[in-house]
Amino acid sequence: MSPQPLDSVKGFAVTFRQLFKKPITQQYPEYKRPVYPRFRGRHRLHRHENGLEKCVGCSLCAAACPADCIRVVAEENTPDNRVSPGERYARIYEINMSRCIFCGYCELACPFDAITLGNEYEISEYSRDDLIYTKDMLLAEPIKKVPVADRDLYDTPIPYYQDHS
Amino acid sequence: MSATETVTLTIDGVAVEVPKGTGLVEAALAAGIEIPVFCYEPRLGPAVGACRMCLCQIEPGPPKPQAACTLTAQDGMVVRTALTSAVAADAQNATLEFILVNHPLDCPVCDKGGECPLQDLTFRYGPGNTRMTFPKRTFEKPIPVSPLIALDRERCILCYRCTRFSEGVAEDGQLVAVDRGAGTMIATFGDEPYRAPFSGNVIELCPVGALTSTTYRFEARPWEILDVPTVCGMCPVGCNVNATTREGNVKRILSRNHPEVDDGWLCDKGRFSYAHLHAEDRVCDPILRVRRRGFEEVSWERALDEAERLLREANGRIVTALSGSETIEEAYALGKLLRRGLGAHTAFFPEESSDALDAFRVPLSAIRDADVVAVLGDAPVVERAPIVELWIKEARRRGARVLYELDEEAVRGAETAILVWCGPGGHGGATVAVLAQRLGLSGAFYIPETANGRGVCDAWSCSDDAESASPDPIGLLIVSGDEAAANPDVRALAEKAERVLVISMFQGLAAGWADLVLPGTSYLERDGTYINLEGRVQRLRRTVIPPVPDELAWISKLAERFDVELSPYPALVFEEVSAIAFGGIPFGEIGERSPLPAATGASAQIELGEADGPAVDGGLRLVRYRPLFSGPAVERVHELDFQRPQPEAELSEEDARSLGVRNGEEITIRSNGTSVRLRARLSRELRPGVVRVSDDFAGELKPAVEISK
Ligand code: SF4
Ligand code: SF4
Ligand code: SF4
Ligand code: SF4
Ligand code: FES
Repeated sequence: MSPQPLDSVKGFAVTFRQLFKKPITQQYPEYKRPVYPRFRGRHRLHRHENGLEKCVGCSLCAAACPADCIRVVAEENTPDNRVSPGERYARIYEINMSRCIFCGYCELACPFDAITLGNEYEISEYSRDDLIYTKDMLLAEPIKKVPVADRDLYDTPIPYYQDHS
Repeated sequence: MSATETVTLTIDGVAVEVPKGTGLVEAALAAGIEIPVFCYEPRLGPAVGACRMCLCQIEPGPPKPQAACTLTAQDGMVVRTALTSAVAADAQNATLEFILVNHPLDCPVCDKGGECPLQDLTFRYGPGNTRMTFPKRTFEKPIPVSPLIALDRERCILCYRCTRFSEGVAEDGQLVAVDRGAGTMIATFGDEPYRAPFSGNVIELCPVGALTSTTYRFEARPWEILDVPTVCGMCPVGCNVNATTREGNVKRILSRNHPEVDDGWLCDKGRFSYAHLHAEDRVCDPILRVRRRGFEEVSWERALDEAERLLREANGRIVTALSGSETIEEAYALGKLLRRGLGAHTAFFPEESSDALDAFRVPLSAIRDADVVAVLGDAPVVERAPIVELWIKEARRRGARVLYELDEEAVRGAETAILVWCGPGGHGGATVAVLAQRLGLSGAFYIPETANGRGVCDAWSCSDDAESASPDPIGLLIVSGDEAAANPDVRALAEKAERVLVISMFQGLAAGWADLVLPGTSYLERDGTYINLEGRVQRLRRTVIPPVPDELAWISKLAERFDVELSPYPALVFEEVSAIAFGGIPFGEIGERSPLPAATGASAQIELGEADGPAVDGGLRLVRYRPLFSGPAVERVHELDFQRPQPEAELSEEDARSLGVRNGEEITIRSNGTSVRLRARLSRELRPGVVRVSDDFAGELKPAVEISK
């Protein structure tokens, strides 16, 4: 192709125009962009109102998981150790977050709405081992690693997770 | 059989030709069409048509859908399955809707989930929704039918597979259907556990999660497991099994139907005793006897040094006691190391073995087709080789005469007769081979006591040709395997030996009398081959990685120190044995369903050892037997405790009549000053003059006994 000097000038014109616009860079973590309500982030396991775990350890989430990152080992509830309603509960429930692709299939597969994907996305770690989330971690409130930004500084509505965690 | 007659029929517009007498379900399969079934299972005998899943429109016939599983293919039949017939599809939908009326659909907690025919067929054929809004019928659940089986009556679809198995295959009649109509329930008698050697098969037969294994309960899902095809090493039948493993542990044993060996059945010993892999007293490190402090766990390096020292110090005065549960490769390796490296040729085998029966080699399934089956030897078949008992029962159901005493006329008169020897005096099969030769039969079996006794014996003899006199005194006794370690005769030998080296899985068996204990592995942890009682070479596969190096690995290390060349890989070791003993078949060719080698030509002269057992004049002859649920592995699986033998003595009906003993009565069995009191059980499978007691209760009784009330 022969050189087209005019097109180059047109291109630089776009760049030049941007120089006079207000920057849209947001300071993270001071500012946090809110996520959509159905954003798929860090998982949670849920409990019934009476405190029993919703998960029955059926491994359907593990079957659905395309990254094969869920490990469930079930066990039988006994009168002395009742963890979930019914006969079966998950003794071990682990998600390897370093492999998870946050597709949300596990949530879809779960017949008891026991697992859902929350809105947290700040889940980096210094060690891969720490990315294997255990049942206790998934049942508990997520630990907020990054200081929550000043609410007043948000330029859009309050993020979903702030009201719904 | 002559050229089989065939019939031609049309299924969904596809014309197929099948042999006469083929069931419609199989005929459709031949046409590539599936007729869905729940209750149909040809191995359980005639179809019962209980579930109605297989409804098809069939002409000629009544104008309503018919249960295809109850019909056989006829010439000119026109079958329309749910694929092409709206009537059949409607009927099938209705059937599924009905089955699910009371089904709890608790798939997420149900152990069958993921491998459940009801799930699969509902997904593929069902209406997808229900119109039934009323509450379902509920039962208490789960109900322990036995310590091994849990029953969930809510899930039962009343296909009667389990009861048909119990009634018509195992013939124990313990699992029955009680009550009527929608209230029908599967139950055992009263609260009695289902206590029978084949009970576990109902778990595999049940098409839903109504009968599940308590040992597999909630252990794994079908997508989390790996099934490893191997062979059961608990008895000489060598049933083909799949070992289900998850995360490096065996979770259950399933049958892997070999139609000539096991027909898809397993006994509970083979099915449930895998838990011995995790026995509390499993030896995981070599144990050395040290002065004063007793015993000490040592490193493998140190253990091999010690083993080398023991072997050298014994100066060839070594005796090796084998278990009959080693693989062919292991026995050969041990033999090669000891015989070539040290000139120690003396071995103590668990039992006699002989190749005399090779001329009468037939598959076990031949028993089913025989007209006369003579079961000789007086020991109970079910306790030694349980599946053989199922074949004999099947033969009887098909009209064969089953004799428990040799009636030469009946045997000669039969079109096909099979001899089975189980008990003392069999000389590894020579006795029955002599009989078979005299009677001109083509099939005979000898039931050994150990799983691979024959293979071990062959492998040992392959490993070297030289002979030597038995050393006296014994410098070193090598005890290979747990069965040998538990054998009282071996213990007696150990008393006389200067040093003892034990290879064992369990501390309870080995500690205390050994100078060095090397950890052993189980048949589920080894790669190798076994020879079963038919003479079939079968392949064992390593299903899980053992916590210790397997025998072959360290035997080959030890062999290096004695300049014996020995590969640590079973395939290479087998190659050496095969070249000598099995006509050079390669390891890889043994395959998953190994074929039976052809019978050899009749051997000219079969040598018999000394005469059969001690003669007993007057009185009764006591036959003591090792019960099925015994042995080092079974004793470590507590779920099997309830299967241990009852304090019973079996008597023939004639003897009982002449003694005036009734079934269940307490009797005293006396010999030479000792006596035991046991419950009498009358048996039709025992000839007069013999009384049978399991080793657990026979105490010190001698072979000649007297019975009083
Ligand atoms: S979000 Fe997807 S990848 Fe992550 S655990 Fe769930 S199913 Fe697996
Ligand atoms: S989270 Fe849901 S799908 Fe996963 S094991 Fe628990 S109940 Fe089953
Ligand atoms: S038997 Fe099958 S359909 Fe019934 S609950 Fe179990 S898995 Fe589901
Ligand atoms: S328990 Fe299982 S095998 Fe037995 S009748 Fe019910 S569904 Fe059939
Ligand atoms: S399969 Fe035919 S009625 Fe059950």
